[in-house]
Amino acid sequence: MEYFIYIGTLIAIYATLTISLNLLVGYTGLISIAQAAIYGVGAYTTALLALNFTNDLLISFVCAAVVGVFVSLIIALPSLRLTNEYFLIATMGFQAIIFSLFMNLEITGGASGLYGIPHPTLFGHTIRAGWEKLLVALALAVICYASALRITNAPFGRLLRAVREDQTAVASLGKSVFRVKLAIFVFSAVFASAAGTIYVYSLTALDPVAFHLDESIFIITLVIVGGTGSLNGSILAAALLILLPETFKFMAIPEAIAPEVRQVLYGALLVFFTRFRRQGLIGEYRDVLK
Amino acid sequence: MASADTILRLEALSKSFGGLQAVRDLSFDVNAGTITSLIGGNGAGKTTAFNLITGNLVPDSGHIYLRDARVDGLPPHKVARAGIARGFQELRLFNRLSARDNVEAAIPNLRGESIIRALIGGRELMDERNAADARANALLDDLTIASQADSLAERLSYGQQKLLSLGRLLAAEGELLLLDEPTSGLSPGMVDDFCTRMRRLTGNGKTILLIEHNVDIVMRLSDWVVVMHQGTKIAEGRPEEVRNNVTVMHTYLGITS
Ligand SMILES: Nc1ncnc2c1ncn2[C@@H]1O[C@H](COP(=O)(O)OP(=O)(O)OP(=O)(O)O)[C@@H](O)[C@H]1O
Ligand SMILES: [Mg+2]
Repeated sequence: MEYFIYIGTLIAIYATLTISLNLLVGYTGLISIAQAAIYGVGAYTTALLALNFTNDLLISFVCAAVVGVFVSLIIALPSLRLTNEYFLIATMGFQAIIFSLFMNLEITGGASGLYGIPHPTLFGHTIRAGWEKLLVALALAVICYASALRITNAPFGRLLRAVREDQTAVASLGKSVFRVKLAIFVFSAVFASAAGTIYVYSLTALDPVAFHLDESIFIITLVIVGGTGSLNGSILAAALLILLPETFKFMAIPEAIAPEVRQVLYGALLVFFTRFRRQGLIGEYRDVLK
Repeated sequence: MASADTILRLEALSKSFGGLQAVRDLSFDVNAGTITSLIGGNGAGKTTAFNLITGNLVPDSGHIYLRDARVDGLPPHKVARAGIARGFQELRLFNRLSARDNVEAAIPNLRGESIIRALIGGRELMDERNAADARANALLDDLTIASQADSLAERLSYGQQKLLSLGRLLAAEGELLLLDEPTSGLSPGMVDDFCTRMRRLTGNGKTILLIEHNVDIVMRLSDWVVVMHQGTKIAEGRPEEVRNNVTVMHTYLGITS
């Protein structure tokens, strides 16, 4: 039972990460490879806060989001003025820098990460049980989904798509492309860092490897498999791709090589969908890059 | 400074790309309420002049005034907000948005385009959305493409796309319209339709700066004609003056006709 609750929590975390990245990739045409870094910033902020000051869940969310937004601004300001291809490369650079900081700073615990993190409290009640954590993770995913739905259905969402289609034309209509991109980048960072809070509290430990470039690529894979520009697709992909490697346990694949098999599987899916089904499982758009 | 009815003034604009002087020492005025045509052969520098005016390119030297405000050096979205609406030679429609969304995306000052307001939602936004729908539908209707309102822009015929591009430009509510070959590739019937529309627009208080290859249209439609050749202005005047200008006949009209 604990096992299924844990898988459910993971799916909720990845659904949040995938939806928030899809807003950048699928709606705005911004392929960011720094989503795992921002997720990690939220996680480290939460862990350090819990170890040193408070494990209040709401305060953790707020602090993770504030620091996540701050870091996202550092990433965004030099990167967002670049063309989309160079944006991708610049965000990859930030991903590398931030991961390296996680691995090497003293305060972040270096390669061994942070552990012994207390369970969170909500309104004085300690959230200890797995199912309670699952509920918190689901609540975040639902809030993320609902607000993403709201902004993408509003004129703001039309502006995002217009930016994806033709930035020069958007500017010629008197609308600042930079402001639109900045707004969605920050919005995305709020949810990515909040997902980091959930990660830390559900494991009560933190391993820097969870925020490696591979993780960013995995989240992009989820966006593409689900379908760029489809929020439902993001949820579907998160569920399928988290569950898929779990089936290894029921097949004859040895525990020792399971992580490698998983990487190969995800890589193959990325190639397959990019080559043969660019709209993803249920996406509406074929090509994000033109 | 600009005279009372000068809406746009170009002062000694120059722009080179590496060794190529695409625009050289270009100066002219556009008077409010007129149709001014910018003509010249392929590569004369017309589109580059547009790019300079709209801030898509920064001039190497020279100034641009919209009414009395300098707009050279401003980024494109600020030039647009100052009142210049531009149509592109290559249209640049939002291909995977519906025709209606293409038009609505151009409507200025929508509160729903702020992410915060979009999150909060509310009645006000619903009212705004209804007003925007009504405005877009009216424009599409006037342009005879109302039946295509829900089709993706990329699905429209070339002629319909040209009309849609005009609709998007009009929704932006600029007072000065920059049109880059709006009639190229259209059937004669549609060309006439476009000419009528442009006349009607100046009648409604708009000013048009037009890049046009078709000499007949230029002569028929323009109040003023500026002739460019190899990046520089070689003549300007009323259409009949330009037609009778010897230099122009040799360097431009002679070649094309
Ligand atoms: N971004 C650019 N980089 C380099 N060269 C350019 C650029 N834009 C235009 N040019 C060159 O500048 C010259 C003027 O081009 P421009 O597009 O302004 O001509 P045009 O008068 O609009 O021609 P056409 O009637 O064919 O549209 C051409 O030789 C063109 O190749
Ligand atoms: Mg041109």
